[in-house]
Amino acid sequence: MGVDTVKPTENQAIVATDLTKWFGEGYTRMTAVNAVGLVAHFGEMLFIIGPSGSGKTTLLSMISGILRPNAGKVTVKGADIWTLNNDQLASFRLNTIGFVFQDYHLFPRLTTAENVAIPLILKQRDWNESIAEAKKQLEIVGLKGRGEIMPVKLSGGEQQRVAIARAIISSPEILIFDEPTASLDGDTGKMIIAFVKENILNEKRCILIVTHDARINEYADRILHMEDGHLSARGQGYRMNADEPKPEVKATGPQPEAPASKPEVKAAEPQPEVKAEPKPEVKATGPQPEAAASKPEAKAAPKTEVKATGSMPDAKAAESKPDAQAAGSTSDAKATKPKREARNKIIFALSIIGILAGLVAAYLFGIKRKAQPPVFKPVSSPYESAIYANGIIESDQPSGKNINVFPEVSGPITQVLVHEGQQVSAGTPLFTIDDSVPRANMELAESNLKAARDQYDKRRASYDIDPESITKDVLDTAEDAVNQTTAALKAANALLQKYSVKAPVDGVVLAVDAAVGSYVSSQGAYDAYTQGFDPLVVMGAPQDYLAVRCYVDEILVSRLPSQWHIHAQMQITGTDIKIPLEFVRVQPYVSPKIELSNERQEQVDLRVLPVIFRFEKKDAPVYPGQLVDVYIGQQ
Amino acid sequence: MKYGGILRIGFKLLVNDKAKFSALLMGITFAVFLMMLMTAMFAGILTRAYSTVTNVGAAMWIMDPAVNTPTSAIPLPDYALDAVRSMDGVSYAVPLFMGGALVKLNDGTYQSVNVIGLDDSSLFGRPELEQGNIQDIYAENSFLVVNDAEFSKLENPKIGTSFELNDHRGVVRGIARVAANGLNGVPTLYTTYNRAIEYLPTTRFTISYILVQPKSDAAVAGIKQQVARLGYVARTEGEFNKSITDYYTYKTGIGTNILLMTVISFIVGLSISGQTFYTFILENLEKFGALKAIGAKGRELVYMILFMATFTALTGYGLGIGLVTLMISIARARLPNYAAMITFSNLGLAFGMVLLIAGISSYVGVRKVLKIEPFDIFRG
Repeated sequence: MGVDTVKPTENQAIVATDLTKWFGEGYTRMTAVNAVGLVAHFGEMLFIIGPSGSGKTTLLSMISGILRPNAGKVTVKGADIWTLNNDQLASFRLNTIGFVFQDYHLFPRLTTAENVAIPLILKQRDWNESIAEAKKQLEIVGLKGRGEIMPVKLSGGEQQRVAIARAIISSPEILIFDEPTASLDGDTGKMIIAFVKENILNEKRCILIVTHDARINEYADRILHMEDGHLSARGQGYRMNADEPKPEVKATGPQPEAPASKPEVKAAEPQPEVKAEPKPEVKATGPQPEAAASKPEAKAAPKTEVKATGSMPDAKAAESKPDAQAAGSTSDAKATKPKREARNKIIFALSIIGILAGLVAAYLFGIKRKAQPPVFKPVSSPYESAIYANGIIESDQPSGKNINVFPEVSGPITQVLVHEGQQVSAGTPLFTIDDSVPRANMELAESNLKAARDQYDKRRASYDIDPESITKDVLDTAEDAVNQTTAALKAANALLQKYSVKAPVDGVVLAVDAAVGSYVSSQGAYDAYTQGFDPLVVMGAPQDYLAVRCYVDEILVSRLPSQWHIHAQMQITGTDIKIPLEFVRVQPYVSPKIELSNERQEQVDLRVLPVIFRFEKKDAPVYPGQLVDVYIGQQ
Repeated sequence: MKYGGILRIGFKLLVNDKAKFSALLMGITFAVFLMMLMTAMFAGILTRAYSTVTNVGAAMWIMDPAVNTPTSAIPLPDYALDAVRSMDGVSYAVPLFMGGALVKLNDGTYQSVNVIGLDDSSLFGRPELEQGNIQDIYAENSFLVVNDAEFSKLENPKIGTSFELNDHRGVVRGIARVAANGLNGVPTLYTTYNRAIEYLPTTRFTISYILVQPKSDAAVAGIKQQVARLGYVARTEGEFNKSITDYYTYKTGIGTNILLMTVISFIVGLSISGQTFYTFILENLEKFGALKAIGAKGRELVYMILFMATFTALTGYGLGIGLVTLMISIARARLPNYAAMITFSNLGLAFGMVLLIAGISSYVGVRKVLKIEPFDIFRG
């Protein structure tokens, strides 16, 4: 085969040449279509009929750009479609071909209008425009007002119409129907095909229908018969006109003349205004006049139904679904859609709220309250590089630390003559101790002296009057007694002086641990808190200058600058007061760091090097014994 | 939008299939809920684990290299403090004591507490006070009590309430609040460093941490090197937090368990949504084939499926996040000890997981859809 018996003309829509398709390889290879050629024209409705498995669907697929042939060529409007790539083929199908599938393949979750609008949407037309256009197309196929219904609510015939509307919405030049009546009862099938022929087919459109339903053959302009992958002899194609016999159609009933039908068909093009007029008239007047003469429906009742189907207002009457039910479906759909949309909106709103809530929560949970700043500024180094040491303020003395005053005698204190912080001169009495006993002893000594002196005076007078009155020895003894009692009085007086403790040097009283009435001894005063003995008075040198004894940790000793380059600054712990220090000396003896406060509780046997600085006190609120932080830098 | 129409078709296909859309949302919501809950719990644990670091607010912490968590400090020798203060780049450095003790309450019961001893001279790291004056910390036997979830364990003390601590008398002089609650479930007391080491039985060394303020950010590296030469480690606040996170994540079972639960949640979500989405694609496969026959390009269908999967994932993500936020917020409001917290990292992680679920689900669908040939539609 391979040669179409119909000569190519200018209105050829499809020209297929030597199309061959096989499936499988080797001994499993099965040739579905074998070197088939055909020509389809604009303005004709071409049927491809044949038994199941004859290859007609495969042929249709190759013609429509869906299935790539193993051999042969398909030319649509002069262009070889199988030279196109996949994307171009998709565009070709979208723009040129409209499909009506056997099972319609409507999306059950889209409304009928949305289903119909799909080709326009694929063409990236505006959604609302597409839906509006789809509703127009639904009107054309007799489903006015059904745009918002889900396809499952429609009958089979209505679904077929929806599929047709979808196929024609993008005004394709070629329409392909795959077994369009397979799922429909006979009358409905006929109505659909009649409708297509009357309303869809026009001179610029070619319709290919694959079917094995012989009942609709009467609507074919031409029928190709396929069998075992070949177009059979009678299937080479023929025109349904008066000159040629129509074996297939004959079986189904008398056929009017095809050529005459074309202009009439065109007159019945799916122009809304055209349809709106003639269709009701057809129904009202019964059998068709001119058009009916050229069409099969002129003879049979079904044809009348077809006309009725074509007229949109009556379309529902011909369907299996009752009007009431259809109307119910419409109202149901209208009621369900807002409900569904509202439900979805709630879900999406909850989702957005959820995300926002999560973000807000993350922000709120993530807020870190700023830590509080320190109450007092911690000590910091004033130098680029320095070593740190603890220090203690002391009196500025050439040696030693403070002057601890202890009494040499014991007894209760009778008077405290100075107060803490008082400047005193050397010899200033500080306090007195009960001196009643030494004072009595002194009076006794005075009495003894007086007695001894009286006795001596008497004996001396007697001796002077008469040297023989007493012996020289008695006189000497009396004189010795005077000397002894004089010495005793002197000793008693010296002891008495010990009961009045005086300042040993000029300086300031730092601490007075004595209280009137408290018993003191040469060990000092007993401190009930520390359960030890303390000096009664602690004195320091004059306070114009104070010293700072710094303890440099052993680990930092190696970094101590030489004494010629030392400079240092101390900061009063817990304050911002910083005072420059003047280097005095290093106590060159690394000793345990037990000299600061609470030294007995020092838990670390750290060893330190004492370094002594001095500074001018002026008005600085610092006192001996105060702990300070010192940074020692290098000049 | 170029693909706006096809995406809208996908959207309608998706949301109009109520059963499957609900199943998809439930699967993803459930997965997100579980993943978020797990990671939020972990984030909460970590946040509480480094609450001390947050509350003290030091720029750098010097510690023994073996320290894993703030509450398990290894004491530093006193000379380390002087050495750190003598380092170049250090603006100031103060000691911090952290220890545990048993407090004997007035009713005779004992309660474990954390005791934080602040540097006497600066009170660096002090808490914010709700009641009282911070300088009262210097008063005799003075302690500040943190009013957190554990506050009631000390019988809701007031200013002036006394207690015994290692046979020393303690008096509440202030009620404090801190940025983050602790992990260990015991009340926290603040006092001065010297009082802390005097009242509590301590080891030979007493400094738990040395808190350092560098002179500048550039000085941090130098300080670290100098501290390392002493045999210790200096960590910035972030580094310390990270080391704590690493410890809990990798050196305890917590991280592994949370990870496992998160993965299981992911798998559950993936299973539910993947299976449902696959079924959804299978159910509509012929329709997708029909779309291809009509003229839809492969990539358009891929975009559509990706959009559907992503949209479902995002919707489920939002619902899951909302649910977990609601639950955590209520739980935190009702249970002061509830630690879970939502962080941006959690949200990001869950988002990534959800996208992965969407990606895997759509991959299966895309494969199917790309595989279907329009001819199969004709052939039936």
